[in-house]
Amino acid sequence: MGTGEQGRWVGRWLTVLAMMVLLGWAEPGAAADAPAQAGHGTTNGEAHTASADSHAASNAHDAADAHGAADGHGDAHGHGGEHSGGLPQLNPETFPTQLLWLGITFATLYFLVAHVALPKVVETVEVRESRIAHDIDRADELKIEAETLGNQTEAVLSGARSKAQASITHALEEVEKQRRLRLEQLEVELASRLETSETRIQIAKEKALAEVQIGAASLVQDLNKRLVGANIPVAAARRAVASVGRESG
Amino acid sequence: MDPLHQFEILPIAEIAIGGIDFSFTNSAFAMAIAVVLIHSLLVIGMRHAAMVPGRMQSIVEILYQFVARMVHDNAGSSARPYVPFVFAVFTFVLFGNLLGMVPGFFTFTSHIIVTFGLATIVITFVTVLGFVKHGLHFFSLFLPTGAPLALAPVIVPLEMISYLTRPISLSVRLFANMMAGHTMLKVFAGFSVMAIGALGEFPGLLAAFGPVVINVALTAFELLVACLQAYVFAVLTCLYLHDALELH
Repeated sequence: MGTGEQGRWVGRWLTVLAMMVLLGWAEPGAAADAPAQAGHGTTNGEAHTASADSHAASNAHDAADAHGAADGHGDAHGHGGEHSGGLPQLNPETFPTQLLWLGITFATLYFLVAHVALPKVVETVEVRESRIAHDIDRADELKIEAETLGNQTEAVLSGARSKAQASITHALEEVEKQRRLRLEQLEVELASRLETSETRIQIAKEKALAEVQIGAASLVQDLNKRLVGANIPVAAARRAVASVGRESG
Repeated sequence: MDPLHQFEILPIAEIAIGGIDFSFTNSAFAMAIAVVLIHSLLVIGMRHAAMVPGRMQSIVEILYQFVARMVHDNAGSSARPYVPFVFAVFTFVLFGNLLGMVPGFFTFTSHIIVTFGLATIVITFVTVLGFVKHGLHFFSLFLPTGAPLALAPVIVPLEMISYLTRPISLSVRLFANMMAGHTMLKVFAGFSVMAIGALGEFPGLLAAFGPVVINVALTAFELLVACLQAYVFAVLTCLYLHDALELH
């Protein structure tokens, strides 16, 4: 429904209402008001100036009395005979008509509300409520589904993570093992190489020592021949050198 | 100038049956307008009932749900079939009160015989419902559970009197509120006219302004009372429904 159309409807009804108010004001009221107000103008006006102070306190009574008097004075036009002063509510002559029309209008209203107008309202509201309830149920289902999916993803992820962790640990261990193996091999190799080197050095040292002794022996021979002119046999020279070498270490 | 003039019953179309006056009056006219307005509101609001309501539809639905919730909260879930009745009572009184706030319009709820008639309709409806639902067991309503049987001769008459005075209290409350408020409005309006009449135009017009200001406040207050009294009437209807359905 367009809002413009609604606006037009509201406007139309307001116009109708305004016309009804005017009619309600003008129809019986106008006929009755004219003489009554003339009466008020004289009687009430005087009453006011005479007792302007006390009027406020007992306004209702004064006014009702004055009104009664005005009705008495005024010609029997309109509501003159309808009530004899006092509250219009307490005039039993109006009771039958009010009760009758109350019965008619309320019965009509109840019939219209219960059987014509309200069922559609109830239906619309209920359809909407069930739709909303259904949508909320569906949303709840979807939420649960999403949660299970999330949990599954989480499980898969954590599985993969632990798997990765395991393979990383495994690789590290492997590397460590290899390293240790290699280190051991190296140590063994190094030890063997050290050993061969040491024997080689020992041999070289002995050889060198032997050569030094030979050289020293020949030097001893040579010196003896030159200084003392004695020929010393090689074996004796060698023995002497060896003994000196032993003494000096 | 008479603040009670507004309550006078004036015939629009004179009807008399068997010498008794059944004229269509300004009071009957106001009742008919109330019915027409309520029905029009419901029909126009729901003319294009949509899943997402427009403005008029929202008004109708809020009104309905307000009454439905009131019935549910005060009369229990078993009172659901009687929502239309409470709805009719509530809207009839509400529109009667509010129409009375339209200047020049007749306030039919300011007449004791009308409110008494409405209260009688409510009490009759509730009592018949009680008898239909519970048969003669309905009379146990007059002896509260747990009361010693020896006290029954005292309690039962008291409870019966309180039950029978329900339509009186229900009707006098609404009638007195509406009549007092509307009389006040007219009395204060009368002060303005009196001030001009007594003091002349110069100080009189200034003095007349005071009651007008008071009347503005009183009108707002009267709107509140109009809605509140309709609500009270409907809530009490729900409570009586609850009594009839649950027997305390």
